[in-house]
Amino acid sequence: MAAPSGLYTLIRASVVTATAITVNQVLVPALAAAEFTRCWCNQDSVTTTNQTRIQLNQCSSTSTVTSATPFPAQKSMQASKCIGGASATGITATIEGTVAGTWWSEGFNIVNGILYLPVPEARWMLVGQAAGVASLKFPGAPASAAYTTGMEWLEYAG
Amino acid sequence: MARVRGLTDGLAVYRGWRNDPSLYAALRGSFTWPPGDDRANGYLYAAGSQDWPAGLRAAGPDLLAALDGLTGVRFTIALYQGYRNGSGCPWHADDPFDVQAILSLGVTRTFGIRPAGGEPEWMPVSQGDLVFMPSGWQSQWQHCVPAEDDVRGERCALVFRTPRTPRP
Repeated sequence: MAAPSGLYTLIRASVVTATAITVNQVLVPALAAAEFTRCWCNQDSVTTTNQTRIQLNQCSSTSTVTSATPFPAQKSMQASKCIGGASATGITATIEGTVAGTWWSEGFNIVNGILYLPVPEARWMLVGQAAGVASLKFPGAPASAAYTTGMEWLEYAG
Repeated sequence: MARVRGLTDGLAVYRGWRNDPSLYAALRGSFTWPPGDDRANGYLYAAGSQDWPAGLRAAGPDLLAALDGLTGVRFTIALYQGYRNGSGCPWHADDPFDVQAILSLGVTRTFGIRPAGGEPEWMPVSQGDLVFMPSGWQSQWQHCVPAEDDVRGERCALVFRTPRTPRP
């Protein structure tokens, strides 16, 4: 495989959330690939211990989200091929897409937060001839808090 | 206002429930269309954590009170779904949420309902029409706004919801 064209992040910063929604969504276009290197979820408003769960999913249809543009790791890098849009890359779903499979799912204490940082050979990769959808989702309603969630990926694109 | 009866499992449609052009103007002042996109959406209000945007600070609470009076449900979440130039959304159920009310503003569009995987029924939704989905309805039924190439103009849905799982 060719060298990656860049490292990008999509962050949803400190948004109060109390429902089981998709918080981050990345639409990887056809003929591109994304290798997910990190995901995280933490919060900065609550000091009371509470357990919740977060998932990294592959979806067969997109959620309807607020458009957001991935941020490149270096200023000189090309823009991400994962373009922002209501049915593309964005944050905070108002209509949920269809989850086809779950790559990572983990419970955590919201006081501590959670970081998904797989060893390189265990990284999840979306690649193929057709577009793919990756999402970070609360599968159940979390305790109300101002959550920050993020996804980071290496992008392989022409 | 006329209520359409005979729909499925408690679904109710109130024709012309809030036919107020100023409400549509206030909502449209609260968001912009993303560049190059005919869909726009976002949360407007969440009880206890997100206040109404400035343009809806008077109308929003009034709508919640009116909905409470009409349906007996105190909605705690409000959002908008904007569609223009015939864009739509596919069949879906809003699983994380329970009761839902959808107030249509703007151009008339087609609204579809179907039992999951079953035969669809279609109805027009026009400026001021309210579609009310009672508790549990979405666990059996899906809805959509089909894309329509020959439709011009904008439809914005003001959507009111209660979460399916009580907040801790």
